Amino acid sequence: MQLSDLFRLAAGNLLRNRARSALTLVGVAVGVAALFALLSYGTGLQRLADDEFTTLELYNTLRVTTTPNPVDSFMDVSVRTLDPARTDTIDLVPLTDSVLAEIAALPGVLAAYPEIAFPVRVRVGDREVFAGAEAIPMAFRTIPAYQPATGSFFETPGDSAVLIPPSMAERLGFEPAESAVGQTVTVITATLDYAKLQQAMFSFGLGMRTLPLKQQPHLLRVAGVLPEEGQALSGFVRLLVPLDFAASLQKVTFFSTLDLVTRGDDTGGYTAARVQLRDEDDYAAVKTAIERQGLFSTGFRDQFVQLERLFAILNGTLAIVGLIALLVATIGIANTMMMNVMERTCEIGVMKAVGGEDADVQRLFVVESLLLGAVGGVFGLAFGWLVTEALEAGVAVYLARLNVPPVDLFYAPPYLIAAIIAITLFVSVLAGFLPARRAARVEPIEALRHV
Amino acid sequence: MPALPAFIRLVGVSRTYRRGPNAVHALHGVDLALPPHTFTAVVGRSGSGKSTLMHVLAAMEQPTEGRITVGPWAVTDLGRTERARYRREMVGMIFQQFNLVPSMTALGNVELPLMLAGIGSAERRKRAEAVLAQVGLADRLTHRPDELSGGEQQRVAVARALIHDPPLLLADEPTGNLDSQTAAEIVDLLRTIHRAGRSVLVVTHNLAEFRDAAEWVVRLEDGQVAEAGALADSSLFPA
Repeated sequence: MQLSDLFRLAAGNLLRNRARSALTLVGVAVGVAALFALLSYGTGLQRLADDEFTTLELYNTLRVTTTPNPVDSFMDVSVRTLDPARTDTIDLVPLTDSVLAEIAALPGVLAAYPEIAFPVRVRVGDREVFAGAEAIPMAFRTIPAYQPATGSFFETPGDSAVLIPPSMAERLGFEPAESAVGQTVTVITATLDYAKLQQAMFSFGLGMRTLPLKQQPHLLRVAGVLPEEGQALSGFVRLLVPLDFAASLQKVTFFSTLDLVTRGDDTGGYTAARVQLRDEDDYAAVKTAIERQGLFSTGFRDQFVQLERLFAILNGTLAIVGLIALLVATIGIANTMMMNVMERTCEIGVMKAVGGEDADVQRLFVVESLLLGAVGGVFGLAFGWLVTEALEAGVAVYLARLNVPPVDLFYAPPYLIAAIIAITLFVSVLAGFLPARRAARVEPIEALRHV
Repeated sequence: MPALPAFIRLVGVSRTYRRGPNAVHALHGVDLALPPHTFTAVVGRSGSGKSTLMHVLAAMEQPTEGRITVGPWAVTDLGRTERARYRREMVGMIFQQFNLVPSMTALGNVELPLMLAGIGSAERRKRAEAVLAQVGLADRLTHRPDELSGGEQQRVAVARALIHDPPLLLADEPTGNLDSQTAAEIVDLLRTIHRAGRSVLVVTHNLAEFRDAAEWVVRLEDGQVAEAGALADSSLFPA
């Protein structure tokens, strides 16, 4: 039988029982839509993380500390660890400016600078935004993600200016966001209240009712508004300040008490530093050179490997859930095909009586099953796409209320769509195979006697 | 039985069915030789093995014992796929129940054997239209079986049996579901087909209908050949 005849005959047979075929198609479509939505969600999240790592060049960033990072130990990242038996004998290397200068002089290093990050409130009039401030060196002017979309980079390392993301500008009332450039915002830091501290020292035995902290406002100029990319996944709104200016600010640099308990011993230097590389090819050499100095380094790249593993687990879990939905749909196809075979047993006998081979009959039913899968798959992909678009629109509305830019939570690259189509067709053929084989093996005369 | 070169030959053919603990011998040591281009009527009472004889000749079921040859085909030696090819090339089948595919038009039903043989749609259509015209259904091409009378449905079945130009036409009670006038028309049609050079073997319980058409008669009793020979010499129609 010619292929075109096979498909035409199969399609005609499916149309004979429209209700049954339609219900089976709905089952397949829902299964495929679920698989599409779940996998594109996992892929979307992975892409967001990947994009942020790429945009902010975190692949080329090392975090240097005087002691091993407890988070690294938890995440099983390969780092040098202290021998517990010799902890007291190790001389911790302080992260001083001279050490940082040595690291900065290593080949392939763009900048080595102390890690300064602290919580702030940003205020314009009666509008206020909580954010994390991050200090960056002037060398970052060459990294695209740190180049303002509007305005300009900091003029000097001590420039009392900030770079803010567009979402923060909008939340502060600047419409459009670009209009924030050149405006002044109040950045409020938490700092030690020495008077309160002194009072607390005197009354320590009586117990301290409040922390010895106060809020310190600083009037800063908005030098520029950052590009949208690379801002969303951070979890909170971030603003950038020049390194020297950040160092001079009165502030406490911990975001939570966790920061206090994970902080290393006081070596007289910085707690941590960041090393930005020019090229990822220099990564291993620079990491080795830093560790030779007795320091500890963790690459964001290493963390990304862990993240990739987590995404693999997440995607695997999502795929299993989606495949279960598809499996149910497949059982629906198998059931439909089995019913078709039983109902059309006499017709199978006719086909065989007029010269049809077992293979013709088997192919016919397999193609019917394949068509159910293919058509259901196409509808399922369309339905899945609509569902993901609707969810994304809903999330965008929610984020817009928070003045956070929309994010593409779902992402379905061509390979994913191709894989879903391939899986759907494969399971459809599988679902039709046994009923088709049963149809093919029936003796013609037995089939003709079947009513 | 004359010693002519046999077109159909059965040697010691038996067909036994298991019905629980019992064995039913539908055919029991049948020896038969029919010359080419004959119109043969197979008669006998219900359960005498008429239909089974036709089914084994059509290779739609395999005999339990014995050997069958039809023309150059050693039917009992064929595998499943070869049996299908044998039916496609050698045999046209007509059933009492017509056995048309209800979802297909008359044209579609007639085209089916050619479709299974892998012949292109244009050629199929041309041949199907011609053969449907030959059986007098040129104006019923697009009608589905439920839109046709019993006689018309049987004509479609005859057209389907002829479409691939088989040397042997097997008809199982082709007039069993038809009124006498329509039955006579079908008999005439089969006679015309036979005169065109084909062997026709008809299973019937009403030999009178085929009295003018059949040349040979085979009478079965309890799965065995009780009588086989020229109809003119048969005891069934004494002069």
